[in-house]
Amino acid sequence: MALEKGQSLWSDAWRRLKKNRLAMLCLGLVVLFTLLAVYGEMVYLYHHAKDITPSYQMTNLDAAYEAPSIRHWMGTDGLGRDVMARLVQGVRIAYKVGIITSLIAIPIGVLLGCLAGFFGGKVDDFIVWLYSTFASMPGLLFILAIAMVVPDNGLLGVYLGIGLTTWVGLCRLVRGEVLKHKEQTYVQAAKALGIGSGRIMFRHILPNIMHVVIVTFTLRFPAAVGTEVIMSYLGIGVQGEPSWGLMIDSARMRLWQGMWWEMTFVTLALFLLVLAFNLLGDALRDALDPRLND
Amino acid sequence: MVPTVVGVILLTFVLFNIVPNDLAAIALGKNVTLEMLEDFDAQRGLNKPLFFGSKAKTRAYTDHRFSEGAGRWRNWSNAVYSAESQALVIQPGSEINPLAFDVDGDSEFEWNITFRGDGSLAGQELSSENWKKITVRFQGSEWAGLETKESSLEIRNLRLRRLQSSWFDSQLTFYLRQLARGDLGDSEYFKQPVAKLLADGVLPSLSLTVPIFFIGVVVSISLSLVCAFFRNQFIDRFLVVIAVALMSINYLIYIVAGQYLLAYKQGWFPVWGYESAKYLILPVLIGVVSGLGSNIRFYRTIMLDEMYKDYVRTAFAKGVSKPRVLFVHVLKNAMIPIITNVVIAIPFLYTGSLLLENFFGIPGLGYLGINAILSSDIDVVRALVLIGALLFVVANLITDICYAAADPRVKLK
Amino acid sequence: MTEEKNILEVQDLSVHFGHGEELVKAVDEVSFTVGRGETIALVGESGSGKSISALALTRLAPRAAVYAGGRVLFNGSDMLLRSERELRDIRGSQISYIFQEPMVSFNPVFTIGWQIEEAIRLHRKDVNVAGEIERLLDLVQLPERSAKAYPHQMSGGQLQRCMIAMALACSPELLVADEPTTALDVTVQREILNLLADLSQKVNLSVLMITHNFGIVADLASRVYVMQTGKIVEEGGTKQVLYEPRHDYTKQLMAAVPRLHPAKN
Repeated sequence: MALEKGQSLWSDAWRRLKKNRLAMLCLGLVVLFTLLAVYGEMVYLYHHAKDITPSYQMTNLDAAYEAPSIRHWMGTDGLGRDVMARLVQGVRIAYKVGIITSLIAIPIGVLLGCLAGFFGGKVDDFIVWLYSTFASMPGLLFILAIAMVVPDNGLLGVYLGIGLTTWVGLCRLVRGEVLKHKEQTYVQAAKALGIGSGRIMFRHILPNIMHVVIVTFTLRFPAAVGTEVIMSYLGIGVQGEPSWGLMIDSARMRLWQGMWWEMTFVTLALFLLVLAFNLLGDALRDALDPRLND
Repeated sequence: MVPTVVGVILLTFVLFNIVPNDLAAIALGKNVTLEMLEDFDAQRGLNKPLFFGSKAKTRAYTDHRFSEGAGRWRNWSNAVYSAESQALVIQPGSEINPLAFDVDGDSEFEWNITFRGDGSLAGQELSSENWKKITVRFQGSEWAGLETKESSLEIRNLRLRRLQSSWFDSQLTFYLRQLARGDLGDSEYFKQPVAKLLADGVLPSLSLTVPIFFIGVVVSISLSLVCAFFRNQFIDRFLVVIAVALMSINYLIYIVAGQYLLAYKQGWFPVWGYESAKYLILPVLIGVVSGLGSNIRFYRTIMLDEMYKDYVRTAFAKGVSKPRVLFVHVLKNAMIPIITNVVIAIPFLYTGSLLLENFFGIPGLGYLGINAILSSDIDVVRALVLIGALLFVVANLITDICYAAADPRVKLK
Repeated sequence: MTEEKNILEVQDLSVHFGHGEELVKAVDEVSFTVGRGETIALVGESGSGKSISALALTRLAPRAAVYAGGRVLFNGSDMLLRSERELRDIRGSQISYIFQEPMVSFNPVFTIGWQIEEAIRLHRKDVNVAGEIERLLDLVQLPERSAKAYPHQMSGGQLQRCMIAMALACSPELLVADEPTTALDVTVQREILNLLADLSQKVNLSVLMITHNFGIVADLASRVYVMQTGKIVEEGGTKQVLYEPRHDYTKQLMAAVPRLHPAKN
């Protein structure tokens, strides 16, 4: 019965989503960015495997500070590197951050949320205490502190920092949903049939809370990207690779000297990525929400 | 509230004492002597066991098994590694001090040595034909080295521990005692007590965050009321899209664009500094605008949720006008969740302006924080994190009180 | 000046939602009348359109509703043609409403007294408000101190009385009661219904009662209209409709009412 309910929820939601033109546009943008990220990853892996310096890293001072032209659609930066190629690499890094931090946050959040909601009692008390403690930590500063103490100078600190703060919101949501579902008759029925707790949780309740996970992922992805941009701007995390944060950092001073293209294009790309995910996430949430208002 | 405070303290402990491999190395960087690292540790109680224990390690000497390749002992004169006996052989007539620096004279130390042959360690005679393992204790102020006279001494294993005066003397108790007396540590960067730095930074931070907070709240609530009044009509939908767009602009971009366009290009505001109120206008403006997006959406949701409630229908049925329904009936109810959101936001004000202060040169807590992160000034970071979290817990408490005051259905527990 | 015989005459009222494929005719060319001092019942299951019809009388239907046709004559004047401002004057003073769930129909953050006072002040001037509140509460048999209470401090039955008091604050001519007792306990229902019957006689109040409960219809209403999916399928005197239902739907509704004794075949 749970499986049936799940299927109709998704096809219903897809139907509703299709009608929302703005959402479809955003979905298209997201797909475009995803393709760019995959392409960027392939370019990176190719150069990495062959151990050659990719074009977007090679400095060529003769071609520095060129305005957008046929050869360089988005111009070149201070070291003569093609802005567009670096932009695409930035998409790749953004996606890496978004996906890996979600891979950290989602399992923790979902698992703890399920355990707390389903078993209640002391287990619930403990998990609520745990996420309340994490939730009390001052956002960005906490993430930066984690990145500071983690014994590694690369992206690991960024991943852990963002991942270990994102799980809290998801855990709360999941716990709430599980609590709601726990009282429903299909769970009581399953229990009466003697089905074990683990099975009930994973086969019956979990499919019904996946929509919360999907929406959370779609909305936290851009937040993670945004945070990483700030971190790499400050010099934390990515070294050497063209993260958007680093590009903004180097583009900033050039802006004041009149070289507008790098800053403009990076800003635009970042804005569109975040906006697309945000709008899509909102639309998804509305589409998946069984309550239709007005 | 208390459990959360405990949790917060524990979490900072985990983050700053348990997670890092070598906090001193992070804080002091590369070009430092072992003694400086040890001093750093000693000052912060990091040379103690984590939770409890009677013995602690010291950087003065790293445990050796003398079977591996490298080690400081390579520098010891008259000491040769012998593969057949799998031991370090100390030539007769040698005097070796294995310690990298003078250890704390007030503490008692303990060698653990597996040896064969004749010699002395920390003044104590060593003599055995067969491999023997003994413990030698000495006061930190005494000579702690190895001596051989006529025969050589073979060593397989040499370990040094500092003896704790109390089994409970640990990093955790050290930290707790520190907090209990209000000691937040010292800044390596500024060479000042952290508490003083925090006190200095509070006012500049508040001069930024308080205006942002109040103006932001007033503007956001007003705009969300507009949305609620024109529910689902053009202006409402328009404001919602604008809000999402505003939310999607990275904070960095607000600052960079604001500085460039309004300060540099237009010249309306000063770019950097903290001389007078004029220097605050641009960062406050940026702070307000960057927060508008999510605030409007949040308040709008609250307003709309209220507007769908039954008592609104009753009010209309009584003949109440739409403005009055919104501003009197709905607003008072909406205030309850709004207060929650608003009070909770207060502690975040001081970290939210991490970037603003940094970019505009406002010498507040945010500036202090970023500086500390970038220079690995551990104590400052820890103090800011801790204080921030505690403020949040307090804000939660205040929220509960305000909630009870505002909602006649709720009684304080 | 002659008084209209019927205080309310609804002629071919239509209220639609949505358009095109998703058009829903919530109220489909519905006609009914309420005479002066009469208590009329509008009966049907949920979704029959009875509540929307009631709200439509003063254009209180949800925003998305489209008034697609018909007239609502109150004292001879078409409500659907009045301006919003005029309707605001009429709501609460000439046509009052009481609703189904009194627990959520009151504003939780204001006292009962405050809310009744608002109803008074909206339409009446130069009034001894405190005295009026006392009088109204007395009318519904509630102690005067109820005015200082908050909605959550009162029971469902007490709140419904307050609702009635508030509705009568400006001596309306027509009271529209949308399932006023559905959410209440059975014993309390009886009390409220008795109260309504008494009051309607005392102040010569016309009542439009929306309900799905035939017991109420039998007790209070002189005439009844049966609605199904937006249309009126049967109408007539209460006794006649109840004992000799003509339309199939009415028969079904009546058959669905549980009885204590086994049905005779």
